[in-house]
Amino acid sequence: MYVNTQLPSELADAVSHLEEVARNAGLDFFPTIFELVDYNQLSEIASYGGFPTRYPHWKFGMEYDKLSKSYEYGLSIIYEMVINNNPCYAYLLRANSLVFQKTVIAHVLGHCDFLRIIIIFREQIGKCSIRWQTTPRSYAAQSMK
Amino acid sequence: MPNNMESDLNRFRKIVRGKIKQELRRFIANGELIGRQGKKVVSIPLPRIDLPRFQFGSGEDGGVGQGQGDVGEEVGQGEQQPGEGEAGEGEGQHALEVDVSLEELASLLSEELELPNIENKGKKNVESKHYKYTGIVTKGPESLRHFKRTYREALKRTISTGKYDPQNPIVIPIKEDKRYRSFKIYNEPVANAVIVYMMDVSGSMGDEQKEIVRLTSFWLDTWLQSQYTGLERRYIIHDATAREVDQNTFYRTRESGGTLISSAYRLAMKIIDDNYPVDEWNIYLFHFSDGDNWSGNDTNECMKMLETDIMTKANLFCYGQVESRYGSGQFLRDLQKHFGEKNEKLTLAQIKDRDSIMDALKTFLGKGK
Repeated sequence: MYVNTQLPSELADAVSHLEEVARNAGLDFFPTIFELVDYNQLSEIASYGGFPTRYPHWKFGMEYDKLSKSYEYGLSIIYEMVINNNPCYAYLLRANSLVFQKTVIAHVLGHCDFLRIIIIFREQIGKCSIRWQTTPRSYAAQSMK
Repeated sequence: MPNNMESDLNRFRKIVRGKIKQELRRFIANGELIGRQGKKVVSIPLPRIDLPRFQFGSGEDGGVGQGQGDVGEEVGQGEQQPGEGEAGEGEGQHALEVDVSLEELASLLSEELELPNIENKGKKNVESKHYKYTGIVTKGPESLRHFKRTYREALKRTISTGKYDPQNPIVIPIKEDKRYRSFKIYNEPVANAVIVYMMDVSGSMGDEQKEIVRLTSFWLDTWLQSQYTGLERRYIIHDATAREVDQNTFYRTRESGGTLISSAYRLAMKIIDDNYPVDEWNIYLFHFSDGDNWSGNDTNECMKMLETDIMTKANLFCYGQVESRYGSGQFLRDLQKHFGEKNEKLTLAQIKDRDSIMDALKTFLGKGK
């Protein structure tokens, strides 16, 4: 299954603009890769705890079921999802409006700055990236596989 | 969905299915489901499934004593006394809402049930599925690999790539060469069948009794529909007189009056005689009552009708008796006395309460009848 996670031009523009604004405001973050996914994909990523792949276990299925259902019933929306790594990965929900997306992007950049600075997260980055390098990097890459 | 999520989700659904199966009795006794008939799926709340984990025990002090001890010394701490208990503030366990289709629920009901004594009469309505291996596909399980076709593909490939050596004709199939058998599902009409449901709605049947009857026939109905396509169903309610109603009315009517069971039988036989010739139809009759017929004369008449008319035409006559406060339950005993305990075409069941609905279903539609 091929999933196009590329940002449309207006969102890509928004990202580069907001990055500039954020850097000017003194934020320091790793390069951040935004991907556009629909809620099924987002629920999937979220139920795997942000990892692109996990060992097989039904508990992820349960989590996925819960997340996607509560979205379908309009009870909850995952606005953003950031993977603490270098580079950072962040997922945007396809169905959100442009204003939402911009808010989320700005918010994510804040997270990325935070994640880079805080010591406890800094330690995590090293550990995560080992995992990340051995597994497909992004949702898109994995989907194509 | 790519990667493992699909299998994780399926595994989770299987677990849920198992949980539902465990508590099926409870769901079957739950009248709410009848109201959802039109809808495809019903939501069932299940307690949340938790992952197993280690927990701290409560006894952190005390423990097994040593030595002889003195007279009058207490042994251990004993069980903790239940506290006074204030209102809790933590949130309760979240329920897991599971969507299940009625058909699935019905199939969970039991894979053991079957329409008894069904015969190949007038092939038209009731269909059964059967599988036939007809096609060849490029993907499949190894157990269905078609050796000849696979070899042929491999040979073709070897020759066309010029690797075939007649002196040393070794052909090694690769993944792309493999061919597998595939099956198609055929629907085969087996038989015509009509089911007549009869319910006693007389005054002696309390609301609870009627509810039990409705639940039983509802599940019978749902299960039969999920298993056999194209069944015809007719519904009769009776007190002192009988009338035919539609399904909706059958599940909702509240009436009262005396009881003349023969009226229902007479109407049922009229419906059958008019519409369903015996040599073309499998005929099943289900009758529910509290067994409190108004007069012995009427009971005698019922017996006569059953013996001379109904039993000769129907494949099966099921009588379910609900226990009621007022009913004498005499009719069941009369039937037993008249036809004996074991009669091929007669099935009797006593439905004491909601919990025994399941048993009644099993009695009615148990295999090996």
